[in-house]
Formats: sequence, C-alpha cells, structure tokens
Amino acid sequence: MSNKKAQSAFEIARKQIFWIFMGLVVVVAVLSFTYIIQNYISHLADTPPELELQFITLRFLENPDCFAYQDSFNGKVLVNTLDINKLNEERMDLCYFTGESKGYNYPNFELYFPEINLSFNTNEYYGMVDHTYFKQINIKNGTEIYSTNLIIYIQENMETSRHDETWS
Amino acid sequence: MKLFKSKKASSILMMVFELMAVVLIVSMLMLVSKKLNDSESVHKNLIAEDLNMMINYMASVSGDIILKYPLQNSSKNISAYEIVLTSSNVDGTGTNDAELKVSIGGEVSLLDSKRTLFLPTGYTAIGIAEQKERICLTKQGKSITLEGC
Repeated sequence: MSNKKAQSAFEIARKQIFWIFMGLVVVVAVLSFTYIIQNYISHLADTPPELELQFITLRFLENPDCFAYQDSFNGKVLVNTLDINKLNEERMDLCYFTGESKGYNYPNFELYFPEINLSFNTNEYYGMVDHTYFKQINIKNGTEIYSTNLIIYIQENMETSRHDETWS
Repeated sequence: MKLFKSKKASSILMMVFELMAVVLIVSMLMLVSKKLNDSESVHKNLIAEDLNMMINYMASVSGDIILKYPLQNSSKNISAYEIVLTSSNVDGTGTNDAELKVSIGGEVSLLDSKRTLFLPTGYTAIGIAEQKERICLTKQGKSITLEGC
C-alpha cells in the first residue's frame, strides 16, 4: 500500500520536474526564436553598404564645409575640386566625426593623395580597410588648379569588418 | 494530507494541466511569430535606410535642397509611421550626430528602426512627421528639417 503511495508521489514529482525543465526549454526556445527572427528582419532590408558610403564620401568632394573649394568672391562651389588649405585632419574632424566611445562601429575614412604624399583620416580609423575608393579630383592651390588622384580607404565597421573591396 | 481521492483523478488532473501548458506554449509561440512576422519591421527598416541616405546626401550638397519622400507615383505608404529626427548638435566633444527613428504611432518598441548619422559641425537635423502620407526633407544653409508635406 505504502509502496503504491510512494509510486504515485514519485509520478507527480517526476512530472513536475519535467514541466519545470520544459518551461525553461520553452523560454530559451522562444527567446532564441525572437533573436533569430529579429536578426533576419533587420538584414532583410539591407542596402548595399557601398551606396550609403558613396553618399557619405560625396561630402568630402562637394561640400565646402568639408574640403570642396568655394570661391570667396562669388561663393561658387567648384564640385570635385578640393581646396589645398582645407586638406588636414582638423578639417576632417569638422566634416565627419564619429564620437569617441563607439565611433569604430560606424564608417571611418582615410583620404590619401599619392601624388602630393598627403593623408589624413577620421577620428576612429584604425586601418581595417573594407573598401577602397579611387577618384580623380582637382586641387586648387592659390591660382593654380591641377588634377590628381584621391584614394579613399573605408573602414566600414570594426565589429563586422569583412574584406577589402575595391570600387571606383 | 490526501491530495487526490484516487489515482485516476490525479492522472486526469495532471493531463488537464499538461494540456493547458501545451495550449499556453503554442499560443505564446504563435503570438511571438505573428508579431515578428508582420512586414512592418521591414518597412520601418526600409524607410529608415532611405531617409538615412537622403540626409547623408543632403549633407554633401553645397546649396539648399528639398527632397520629397516617397516619390509622387510610388505605391509606398508611410502614413502609419512616426518618423523622428533629433540632433545632438555640438555636445562639447565635437560629435555632431543625429538620430533617426521610425516607429509605429510613436510607440516605443524594440523593433523600432534607428539610424545614427554624423553631420558636419554646425549642421542640425531635426523634425517630426506623424502619420503623414508624404514627408519633405529641407536643407536650408546648415539646417536640415523633416516635416510632413
């Protein structure tokens, strides 16, 4: 008789343990499922990173608040023509600054002018190059304008750094 | 204390509890899947991505500019969303970032789409468009504003 009672109590306890364990498994499964789906959704609407990077790099070449040359008399901006006096790191910080705490998670850039051996970069650029962008530009130095090459090295995101891709 | 009068009664009660647990788990999973499976999150991400690129483009052009979104004959409907653009401006460390947030009806949700933009120093980007069919991004000087139009 007492053996039967013990068996029944054991049965109930066994089921309770099973359901506690199952509860934990289900919670973990639901959380993982949520995480996987969220991750999938966030990547579903991804646009090619090159597109966004093109829009950002455009400011280096066309915005007079960055490096583009602006005529001081008529205010006219010469697109694709950079002012030699603006080509420095201080100006770069004014043009594009990603912040010091998590800035490496965002695109950072190095501008390199091989002909004049000049280079400078944004604040959180550590040389982990994901993309390289070649561009033919003009440089305005006093009254003189000359054509030169510009290489833009792009470090897209230090956490998800991939591989070097060259585009122009 | 005798919990159940017979073994059969206890077994039936346990079965009822088990069935209830199964129903609860299935409905929980269905609720989560339904919430995650709607296309709203994808739309929010697409809108945030489009506007992010538009604002970055506006920070590149030297003159004043107005961009309308979506295009006149586009089938895209953005009237269900609240789009908020906030600018921290210069916070003393030199950072001039702006945050773009797309949500549904202004509700705070983990699935809200957010983008951080870094603007040239002196630029501001602010505005709010709540349940508008079309929005306008206007750049005047160094100020970028977002509003319904």
